[in-house]
Amino acid sequence: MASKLNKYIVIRHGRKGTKRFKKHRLNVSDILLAFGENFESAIVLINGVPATSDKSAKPGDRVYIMPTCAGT
Amino acid sequence: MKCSICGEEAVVEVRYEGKAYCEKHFIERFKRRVRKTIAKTKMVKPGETIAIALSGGKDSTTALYVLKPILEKWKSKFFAITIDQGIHGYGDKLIRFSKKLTNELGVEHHIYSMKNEIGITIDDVANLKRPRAVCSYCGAFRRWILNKKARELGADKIVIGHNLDDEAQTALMNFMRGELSRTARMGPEIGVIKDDLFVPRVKPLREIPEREVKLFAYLKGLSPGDEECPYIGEAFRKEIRKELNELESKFPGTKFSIVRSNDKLASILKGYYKDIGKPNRCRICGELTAGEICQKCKFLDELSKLKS
Repeated sequence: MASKLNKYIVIRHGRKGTKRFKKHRLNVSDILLAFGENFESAIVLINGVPATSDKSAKPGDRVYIMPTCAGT
Repeated sequence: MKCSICGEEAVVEVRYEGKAYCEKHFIERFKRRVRKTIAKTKMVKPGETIAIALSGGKDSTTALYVLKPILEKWKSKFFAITIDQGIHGYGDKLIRFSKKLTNELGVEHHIYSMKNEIGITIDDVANLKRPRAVCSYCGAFRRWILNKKARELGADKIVIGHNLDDEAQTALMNFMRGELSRTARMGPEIGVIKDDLFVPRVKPLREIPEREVKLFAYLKGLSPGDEECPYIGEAFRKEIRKELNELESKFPGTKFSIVRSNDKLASILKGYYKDIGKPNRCRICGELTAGEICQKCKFLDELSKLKS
């Protein structure tokens, strides 16, 4: 199971679900774009660490998109 | 990307400044900016009693966390007020988070339920066939309870967690709806007229973009999660938010420019609306209103007709 997961970049969005990408690398703007977000509307966490625009995710990384807008 | 100050790995890039910061310097900068906003506008002063409106969301928890050491240093009396709107699930979670945070920080905390104060919950409102969005009723009821309770507890000011994005969105919405009397009430301190019944609301986070508040809350463990209110539905604000975020991405600094222009406009308009907007006492509840009946009583009347 672990080896299968490591083939994908799994991106979880705080409100919009999860998507998997079979790619070697995915940069932050592509990660945001995959969920229709941009640098202002969400923060990307790669393995729990906030990522700047020059960072990218690789297979096996835990990627989380944290929407910035308020809940109410 | 490296921190512009120490060269460590950056956790945030601040495009409108052309800089990046590591966690330590981002947090220091964040606190410094809030202190600067307070010092510049004198929105809160030593000796005043401060009520902090604590919904349990990232903005209000951050406002409480950042303000606490400042108010303690000034030896000011302060406390948090939470309104339980009666939103099953989402609301309960926020209230639990608020309680946990005030316990950890050792802050006096008052919780008032909408059901007890005005006899209705937001879940009740949502179940009715009503002419406007749930947020309209929720906002009016919360403001009414917050003002009344803060006054009864002896507060001179109410701190609310509005950030730069909220301010820029509201500024544009008022302008696009032609509601300049609302623009006049904007600025670091809400309100045009001074009155004994009105506790001014102040916004120490108004110069901090929402994404920075969110990041600060995440790094400090002040964010209750990414859940959305089940009744969120103000389509116009959502659209404005989306457009503003796209503009800010392309032209960093846009939100600041909107808020600064709006502040200039508000300071001119405050003089104009001072004379025409004399406040009255609500015929039903006795609270402050621009007309004869306050918004909360109008809405309650509207809902009671819908029920029957």
